[in-house]
This record gives sequence, structure tokens and C-alpha cells, in this order.
Amino acid sequence: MSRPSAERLRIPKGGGTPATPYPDFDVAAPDKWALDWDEKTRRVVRQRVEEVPRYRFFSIDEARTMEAICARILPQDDRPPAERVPLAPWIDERLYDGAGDGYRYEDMPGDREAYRLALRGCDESASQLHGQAFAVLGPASQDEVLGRVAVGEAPGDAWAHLPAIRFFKELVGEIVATYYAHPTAWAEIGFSGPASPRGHIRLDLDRHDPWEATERRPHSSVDIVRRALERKHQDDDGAHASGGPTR
Amino acid sequence: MSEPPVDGRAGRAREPADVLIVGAGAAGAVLAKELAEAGLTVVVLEAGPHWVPERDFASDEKYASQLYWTDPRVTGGADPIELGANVTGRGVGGSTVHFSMVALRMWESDFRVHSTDGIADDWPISYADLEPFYDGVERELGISGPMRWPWGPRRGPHPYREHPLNSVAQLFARGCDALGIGWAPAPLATISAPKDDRPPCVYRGFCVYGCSTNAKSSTLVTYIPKAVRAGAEIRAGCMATRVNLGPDGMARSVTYRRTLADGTRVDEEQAAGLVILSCYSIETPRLLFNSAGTGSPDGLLNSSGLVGRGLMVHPSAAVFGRFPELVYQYKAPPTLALTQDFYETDLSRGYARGFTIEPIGPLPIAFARAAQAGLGLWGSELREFMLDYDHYAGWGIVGECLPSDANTVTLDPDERDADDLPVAHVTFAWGENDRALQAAGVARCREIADAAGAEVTWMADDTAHLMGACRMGSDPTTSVVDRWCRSWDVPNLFVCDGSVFVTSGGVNPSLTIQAIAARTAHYIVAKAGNGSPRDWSRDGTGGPR
Ligand SMILES: Cc1cc2nc3c(=O)[nH]c(=O)nc-3n(C[C@H](O)[C@H](O)[C@H](O)COP(=O)(O)OP(=O)(O)OC[C@H]3O[C@@H](n4cnc5c(N)ncnc54)[C@H](O)[C@@H]3O)c2cc1C
Ligand code: SF4
Repeated sequence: MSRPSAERLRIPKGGGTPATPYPDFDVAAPDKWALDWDEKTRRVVRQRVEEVPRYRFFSIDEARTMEAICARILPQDDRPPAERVPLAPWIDERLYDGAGDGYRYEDMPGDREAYRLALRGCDESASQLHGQAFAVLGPASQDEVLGRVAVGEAPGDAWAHLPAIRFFKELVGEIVATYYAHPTAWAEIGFSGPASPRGHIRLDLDRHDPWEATERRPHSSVDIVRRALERKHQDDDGAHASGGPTR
Repeated sequence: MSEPPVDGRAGRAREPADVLIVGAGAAGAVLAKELAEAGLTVVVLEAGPHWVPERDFASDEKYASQLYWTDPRVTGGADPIELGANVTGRGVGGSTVHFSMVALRMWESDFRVHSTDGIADDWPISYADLEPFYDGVERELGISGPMRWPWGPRRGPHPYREHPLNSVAQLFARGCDALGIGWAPAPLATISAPKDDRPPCVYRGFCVYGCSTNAKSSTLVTYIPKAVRAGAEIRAGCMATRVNLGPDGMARSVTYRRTLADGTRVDEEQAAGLVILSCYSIETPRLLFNSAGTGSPDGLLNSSGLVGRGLMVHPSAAVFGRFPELVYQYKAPPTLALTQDFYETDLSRGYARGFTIEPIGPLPIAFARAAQAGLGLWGSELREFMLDYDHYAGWGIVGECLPSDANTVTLDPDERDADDLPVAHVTFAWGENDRALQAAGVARCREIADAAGAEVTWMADDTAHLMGACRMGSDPTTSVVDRWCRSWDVPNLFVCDGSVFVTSGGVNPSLTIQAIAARTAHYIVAKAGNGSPRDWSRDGTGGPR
């Protein structure tokens, strides 16, 4: 075993993205590495950053489609390829290991079968809509296919065997969980990281500890949220008029 | 992964124990300590590992999946419940290892919902029956909270001083103040000053991923060490697969599958004078179904047909607001303030019972998933949205869910786990009242966010906390266990965990589960007499009722 404490992780400052409000924040800066990263956490995250698994579950074609999907669900065009957070290999590893999150919806097949079906479904939809495999479509066409999967209106035989809306939620959930488990993503959103053993002292509104991210550029999600809510209202009209818990 | 302690006795017959407890979670740990300290010989079987927090817990959202019950289960019905991390832990300490520490009592009316509201059922016990045990559990855990509790039954100060409010709780308080809604600092199972050999909370905010600081008062670091000191044996890595009855109809032993250090599994059996199941609302019914035999073809303890019925889950939708100030919502325990101004029935609101509102503080993955669920975001919009993580604050309800016998835990007819045992199948649908109550709760949350100055708000659906599926009662035909958690069907077999709940209340359940466990232990000790095992066959009066 290597000694994980010997050298700290090098994370691109501010996650390397031009839009981040925290361009100079480094979650593993020397002071933070010393005081906010205990041994166990260092080992766990170092492995995640440095030991990206190779494909063992997906075929070469499936892996290519999966990578293309990940690149649209969580786009990282702002980064050179070598600096992008790997996503599809971790999904492959989970499926290879047969690890689950503790439940399966009764109307869904097991995860392995669901992913295989969905990858086939994306190709079927792509060829029916655009005459090409999903992986070789342009980003706009890929988004169109995924957008149809999201609302359960994607053409293709595979989707007759898989509840598309439910699967899409699970898929986005897994990709998002993989991305925001990476220190590069923590830095870009101003999340301070492990905080063990040091913890936090300044808890008041609008205050932060010197070792937390400092906002350098204003950024607001208000417009994105308003747009999303408008879309949702259009979708929801009449659907769940009671406004109660939905599925 | 930490390995279960190897004691060289694997596969061999063991001495019968006075008491065998299955499940070392919120309830099982309390039972183990109280019974061992009273001089009974206690063995606890726990399916998961025995963690050492400082050594085994990483401060990491993803790595924490090792703490959850991730063995397969099937979920369905009109409103399938999200299982896994959201509902159950696996390992010594059970779900309290990754729970969010809110330590509330139920109210007097919670135990009398039928009498006060004409719906659901009354419990066979009252608040007064539990009160001394609530006091005891709060002291043992070192609950931190305010001097004066403004709602519900009158009671004295919490054992430890309250924690400071973090930014999210400050915004929550600001919104409540503007609307004239009462709020109070949240009573929490994490210490605000040193206790025994544990240091106080350092406000890291990784509470629901396992607290490596060791400030969090999970049963893993409170009741379990005391149980061990009093002589209880905690057998980790041991999954109970069957409760065995003797020819006299009494529980004789439990068969379990033990995972050895090299990963191989062996079947072992432990005999005991008294068996207590504390596996929680899904695994307790599953174990009872998997223990079906002659005389109990539909599952053990199921003469009433109610094993697995009446499963409840709290509606816990949340509202997030975007604030101009920097919030840094990840800091400190997620819930540092709350309101119970809307707790009991007010018929003018158009639904029965009510809810608590509690701030939350999701870490990045949980927040991104909330945004995905609540706003349907994906792609560059989601990534851009997440750049605003530090400007959000949110709070959600813990709302009462009315019990329905149509909400069930059964065995899945097809699916089996790695040990070839049928897995649990959960079926759930909200009732009318649940929906109306949740809609009202969300509206309140939104008003508070608006009053606190949110520029925009959005809602994310959620559920929390399982309860019920082996309810207690005073009639063997309408309940599975009596008011001491002793089963009606097998006199020396108890069910003591969250599954005995009759109604759900509008509070996080663990303190009540632990108070019930302490009360059951008290009963068993009184009945066992001077530390000696005794005959548990039903003796007409059933002991000191
Ligand atoms: C994310 C989350 C947050 C929560 N937050 C709060 C909160 O803030 N406040 C609150 O009051 N409550 C909270 N809860 C709920 C609380 O944790 C549970 O209600 C409580 O722990 C249930 O107690 P229990 O003893 O019934 O079961 P558990 O604590 O779940 O313990 C059951 C144990 O039994 C073991 N087991 C199961 N089957 C077997 C078997 N066959 N053989 C051997 N062992 C077995 C399991 O591994 C587990 O360790 C939260 C729960 C979760 C999941
Ligand atoms: S905030 Fe407190 S309780 Fe939560 S993980 Fe940190 S030290 Fe533990």
C-alpha cells in the first residue's frame, strides 16, 4: 500500500471551469489537506481520483454510448478531456460488481438489465429520429433523444420493456452522484470538502471560515429555476391537481 | 470494512443465552444495555459490521453507502417508497449511525389519535407511560437542546445545552419571526460538551454519513459500549435467517448466517430463553415470514394477519429558497431549529393531525438530486445551477402519515438475496389525508422561505422514517404485540423496534423507539426477577402489566 498522506491531491483550482464563482478555491490546498482531510478520507478520495476503473461490464459499443450520454447529462466541454471527471467507468464498475442501492422498483428490471436495455433504446431512438447511432449524433440531437427519454416519448422497441421516465431519473441520479463525489466538482460549487478533523467555526449567515470558498464573481440560478418551474407547470397541468406527494 | 470480532467458536454450539436480541440498532442497543446491566446474559446478532467511527468512517457522501442496508428489496404500489440509504442502516448502531439526530418526543395526543380525532387507532400506552423512559434515554444520549420546550407536554431542560444556530437555521428563524410562527433550537443527539470519552460536535455537517468526530450519539457509541461493559456479546456479521420454535410452541433459538473474516458464510444457531426481534419495519416482518412453519403457515406471530401491515413513512417534502446572502448550507448538523406550531389537528385546515418543520442541509450529491427531482434539471443547466449551491437554504416537513392495512411488507415471490432468502417487497400508497397534509406543509415551508427573503423557491418531494408493520395493541386479533412488545402468539418472543408503532406522529421516531425499548427492558427485568432466567410461558396475567 502506498502512503496516502505523503502527497496531497492536486485538484484544478475552482474546478477549472470559467463560470465558477470560486475560481481560486482549492479543496485540497496545503492548509486544508493538513487539517480537513483525515487519513481515511484521503485514502478513499485519492483512490477515486487516481484509480479510475477500466470497463468490465459494458461492451466497447455500450461504453461509447454510455460516455456520450454522460457527456450530455453532465457536460464538461469547458475542460480539456484529460481534466474531465470520469463518469461512465464508475457506472460500469457498479454494474460489474452487482452493487445496488438497496431497492428495485417493482416495474423495473434489475439494474444490469435496465442499463443494457436503455443503451439499446438510446441507439434505437437515435436511428429512428436521426438515422445514426447515439454516440455519433451532434449534441443537439443527443439532447433531443435524451429529452424524449426523460418524458417517456422516445421511439424504439427497448423502451417497451423499460419505464423510461423512471429509468431516466435513476440514470441522472447516478451520473450526478458520481460527478459531485469528485473534488473537482466540490471546488467548482464552493463546497469545502471533508472538514475532518477541523470542522467549522463560523456558522452565521454570510460568514465563512478563512479556509472555505470565497465568492469572487456573482452568479445566480434564479433564471434557471424560473425556467424549470415554468416547464414543470406545463408538464404538471392537471396531472397532480391535489399538489400532494407525487411519485 | 471492519471484520466482526473472531472468537474461534464459529460453527460450534454455544451456551443458551438468557436473552437473544436480533438487530443492534436504535432499539436493540438500548435493550442490550439495560438487560445486561440487570445481570441477564445477552447475545446480540447484527447483520452488518461493528464500526469504529474514527477509523472506519470517511467524510464522504459516496463512501457512506457502506453504512446503508443495500441488500436487495423491491418497492412498489401507487407511491413506491425510496428504500436504501433513505430508510435503513446496516451495522452495529443500525440506522442511528447515519440518522440526522433530531431527538423529539411524541405528544400526548399522538398516542390517542382515535380518541381525539376519530381516525386510526389509539396506542395501548400513553405519553405518561413513556415519559420516564424518554427522560432516561435523553440523559444516556446526552441530548442537546433548549432549557424550555414550548410545545407539547411540559418538561424540564435537556441534559446538554443547545447548539448554536447555523445559517440555515438563522434564515428559518428569520422567516418564522416575520410570520409570528414559534420556533425553537432543535434537540439533537450530538453532544455540545464532552461526555464520557467523546468530544463535542465540531459542526462539520457530515452527520448523515457517519460522524468520525464521534460527537454523534448513535447507539454504536453510547448504548453498545455500555452493553459490552456489562457483559453483552455483540455478534456482528450475523444475519438471522429463522426463528425456531420448540415443540411447546415457545421460541427456542435463532438460526443465523455468519460471515467469516475470509468472506465464507456458515450457518449457526443460538438458543435463548427469550428472543427479541429489533430489525425494524422491513426486516422484522421479513424474518417472521421467513420463519413460517407448521402452526404458522402465514408467518410467525401472524395469527392476526397483521404482520407486515400498517407500514407508515413520513411525508417529508422540502422547500428550498435562493437567498442573496451566502449560506454555505453544508455546515453543522442539518437541523438546528424547528417549529411544531402546526402539530395537532385544526379542522379549519381541512385535514387531520399535522407536522413539524425542520431545516435541512444537504451535501452536494443530495442537493443535486433534490434539484433533479424537484426541477427536472439535467445537462448544462444542472451544472450551472449547482454553482449556486452556497446560496440555498431549505426546510421540510415531518408529517403524520395515517396507517393503512393496504400498505405492506411481504415476501417477494421471485427475488432472493445472496443467501437465497426471499427479499422484502414493500407496497405503499398515500391516503387522502396524507396528501392534503403534505400540500399544506409545503405551503407553510414556502411562506417561511418567502418571509426569510428567498428570491425564488422550489419543492422537492421526499419521504423519511419507516414505522409500523408489527403494531402493538391490547387485542390479539388487532395487533401483533402487547403493550410491552411481547408477542401475543409466542410468549417468549418479543418484537421491539420501530415496527410496533400504531400511528406515525409528526416527529422523527428514534427517541420514541428507544423509550419503548427501555420500557420493554424494564418489564423484562421486573418479570425475570433477580437477574435469573425464568419461565416465560404465558401465565394468565402475563406479568406486571
Ligand atoms: C437518513 C435517515 C435519517 C434519520 N433521521 C432521524 C432523525 O433525525 N431523528 C430520528 O428520531 N430518527 C431518524 N431516523 C430514523 C431512525 O434512524 C430509525 O427510525 C431508527 O433507527 C429505527 O430503529 P430500529 O431499532 O427500529 O431499527 P434500526 O436502527 O434500523 O436497527 C435495525 C438493525 O437490525 C439489523 N438487522 C436487520 N435484519 C437483521 C437480521 N435478519 N439479522 C441481524 N440483524 C438484522 C440491521 O442491520 C440494523 O442494524 C432517520 C433514518 C434515516 C435512514
Ligand atoms: S456536525 Fe457534529 S455531529 Fe455532525 S458529523 Fe460533524 S461533529 Fe459529527
